[in-house]
Amino acid sequence: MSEINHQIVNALFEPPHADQPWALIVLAALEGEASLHALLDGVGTVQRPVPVAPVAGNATEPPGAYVAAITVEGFRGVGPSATLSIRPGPGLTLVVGRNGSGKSSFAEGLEYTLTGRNYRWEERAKAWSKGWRNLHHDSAALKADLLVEGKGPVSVARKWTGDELDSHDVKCTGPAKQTQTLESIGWDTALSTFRPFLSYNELGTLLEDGPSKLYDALSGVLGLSDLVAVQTLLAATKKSRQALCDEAKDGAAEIVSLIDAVPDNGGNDDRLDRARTALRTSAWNLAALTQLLQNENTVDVSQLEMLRRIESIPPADVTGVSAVVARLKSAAKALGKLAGSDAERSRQRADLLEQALSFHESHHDQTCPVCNTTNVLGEQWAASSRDAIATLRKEAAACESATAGARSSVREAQRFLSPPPPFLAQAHTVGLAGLKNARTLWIDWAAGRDIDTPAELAAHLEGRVLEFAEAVQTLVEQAAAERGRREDTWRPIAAAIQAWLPTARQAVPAKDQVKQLKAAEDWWKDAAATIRDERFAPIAERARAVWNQLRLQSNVDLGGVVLEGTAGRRRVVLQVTVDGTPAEALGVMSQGELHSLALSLFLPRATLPESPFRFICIDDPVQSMDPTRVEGLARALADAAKTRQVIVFTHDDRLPQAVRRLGLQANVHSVTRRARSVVEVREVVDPMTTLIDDARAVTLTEDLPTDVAARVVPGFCRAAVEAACMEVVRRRRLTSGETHDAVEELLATNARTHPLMALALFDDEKRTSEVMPKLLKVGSWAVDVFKICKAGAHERHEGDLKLLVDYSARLVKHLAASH
Amino acid sequence: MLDRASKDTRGMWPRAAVLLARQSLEVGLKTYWSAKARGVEECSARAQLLCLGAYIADDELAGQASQAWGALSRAAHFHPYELPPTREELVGWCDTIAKVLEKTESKWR
Repeated sequence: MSEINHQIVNALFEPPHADQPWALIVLAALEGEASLHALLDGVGTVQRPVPVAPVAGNATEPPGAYVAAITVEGFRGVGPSATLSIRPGPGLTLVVGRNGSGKSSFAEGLEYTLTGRNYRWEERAKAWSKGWRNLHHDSAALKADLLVEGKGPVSVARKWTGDELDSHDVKCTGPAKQTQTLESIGWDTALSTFRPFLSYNELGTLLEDGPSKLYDALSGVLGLSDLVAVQTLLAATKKSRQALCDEAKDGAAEIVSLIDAVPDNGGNDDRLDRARTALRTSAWNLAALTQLLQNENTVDVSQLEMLRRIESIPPADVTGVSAVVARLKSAAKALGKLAGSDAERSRQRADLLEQALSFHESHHDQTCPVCNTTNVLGEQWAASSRDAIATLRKEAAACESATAGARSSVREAQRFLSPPPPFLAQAHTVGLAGLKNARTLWIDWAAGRDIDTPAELAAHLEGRVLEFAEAVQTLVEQAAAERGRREDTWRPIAAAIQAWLPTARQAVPAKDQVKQLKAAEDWWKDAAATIRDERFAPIAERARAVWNQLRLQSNVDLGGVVLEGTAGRRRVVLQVTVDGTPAEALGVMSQGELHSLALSLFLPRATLPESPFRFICIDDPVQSMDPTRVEGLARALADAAKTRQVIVFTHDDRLPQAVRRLGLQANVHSVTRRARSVVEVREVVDPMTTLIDDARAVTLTEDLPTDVAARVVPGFCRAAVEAACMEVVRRRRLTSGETHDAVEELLATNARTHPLMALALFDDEKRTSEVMPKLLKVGSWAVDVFKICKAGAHERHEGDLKLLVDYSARLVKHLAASH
Repeated sequence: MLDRASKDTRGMWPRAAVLLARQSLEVGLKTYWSAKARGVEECSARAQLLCLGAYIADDELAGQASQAWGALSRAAHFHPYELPPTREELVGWCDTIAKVLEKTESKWR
């Protein structure tokens, strides 16, 4: 865990936060995304870290690194190996070179050597990172020699083995000459946190990219990225959990609207009601819904079950019924034929006749034993009685079989007369149109059970069977149709519920989590803001100080720099006033002022005591700055250079001149690029001295034809004398309080040698005629030099060149001293 | 000086090249006028350049020559905050001068 996060954790352990349920969430978020999600999903726990005592002596400066040399070869604008040597230690170093001279290659080279990256390229098209290689040179290498306080030299070198930007070896040599990895020096984080490099595009863009980008740049400087990362994680997690809740909520509403859209409430499909009830309040009854989905086969007399049972009613057996009707009818017919006959009576009578016959045969008595009528029982009677007995016996048998037939046909018929199934009595809830009719007919049909005569029963059955069968069939069909309809209505709803349930199950705990995450995030925001403000206060203070140095005559006052808000609302508030009236910084500031402001913010951040870097490398800060501000910049840089090694790359001579004019200490190197990317670095003093030295060098150059030297030297001398004149004018006028713009305007309109000299000597460009007499007073040599200078740039000087250089140097010295 | 790196001219070569280039243009013009229109060579370089277009019947080249001469003159003087020209600028001006010289030489020869 990072230092800054520890600081927060320590605050977390202070009451009353420690026991808050969200404290665990904060701790999990500190461990990372995986831990946080594991905790929330209930599959992980968080260890409370042991409170850590703040690291003592936090503010002591780590051993600082200075740049001793930057060597660039075959990289960007530099062809053959060129080295920029800098005195390792606090101080101001200016590297001056025209655009394209290769100076920026040193700045970029140093940045790339140490970081393996380059801001300027990263912001641009791929062509930039493809064009890293110098076309005039075959091998490519970068080397940075650094000196680390109390440790010794450290050098980092990158040598390319291929054409791709990243196809290179990194070699790092530590203090005791041992080889080590770049990572082991431990600058990784510091290089971004205290970023010691600034190309002007960088902060220039940041100011224009809007307050949130600027916030990121500055908070990155503060080392707040860990804080921001945790907060981002908390916010993102909260958002995703909230989204889950919303999704589930929307899903529930959608299902309810699906249910509501079912016409006639699905014919009282109770599943719809139950699903709706389960979803109605925000506390969803997920268990009920789950059961509803699994509930297809339970014994519960649900309406669906009822329909299913009605459907299972077998159709009436019309064929069977008509067969039984036929039997009943024939039984009835048989009975009808025997109407009035009585099987028992016939049999008893036959029995009686048989007994009478047997009595008569035994006794031959002619008197009837029953009625005592005499002379009736004779042979004739016996014969007719025997016939009668046979007839009677036949009659009785026929009668018996007809009765038996009738009985069995009735029994058989009654099998078709089962009463309506009891569940039909409750079936009205499912609302089938044919139910009433079917049930009435069925009851009526079943009433036939009480009929025992075949003829009546046959009539009962025959008269009702078709109507009854049709009613039952209609009912069954209606039930089937209804159930099918309900299944069709239910199925999509069931599918929707099925799909929704997993989200809902996650969403239920998420509701609580969102609250806790919000609490955690709020707390974190506050704690982070406190730390942020603490850390930023000194930087803001110093930014103000730098701005006050840089602003000079600007009427824009920087009251304070405040970091505000977080996440999407994070911003840097630049409390700017114009002549005392609050204003919007970006609106009222000129490009130059904005760049100054950017620099004001950059200098403090790169020179924080915690940074392991004692150097700052600034590429071209004077772009779009007017001379006044350049002077302020020179002061600010010189100030920073008291404790830091400040390396500034600049494309023109304004900054070096401002430094010289202000009498600030600085080492100036000039960078020029010749044919085939040969880049030369040399140390320069002031322009007069440089030009005189150059002129002298020309006279001493042996392989230069005399004619060439004769044509060149006077030009150098003239430039030196002009430079001296300007220096005199500028110093005098600026000291007397004139503005920079006015002085520069004056010098620009009097750029020729004669008026310049008049200005230098008399502070009046019009007094050209007095120049010669005045110079004559200095010496006749001075007049000669001046004349040669005036003409010399145009033609060959026939006299002694070395003498000319010496006299020019004397005149320059005289002018410098005259002030 | 422009095409070959030399330790001897280290650092000072751009300014030396400026002076030589300007002088070669001025000398070339003078020679031309002496042959074609005596007296013009005594006029200012600016006047000479203004006349050049009409004489060599190439206004565009004359214009380029004027521009190069102006830039070289400016570079020959000391100017606050300005660094010597770059090699690329110098090469461009020298090319123009070479063209002028070629053209004028062919005229008077």
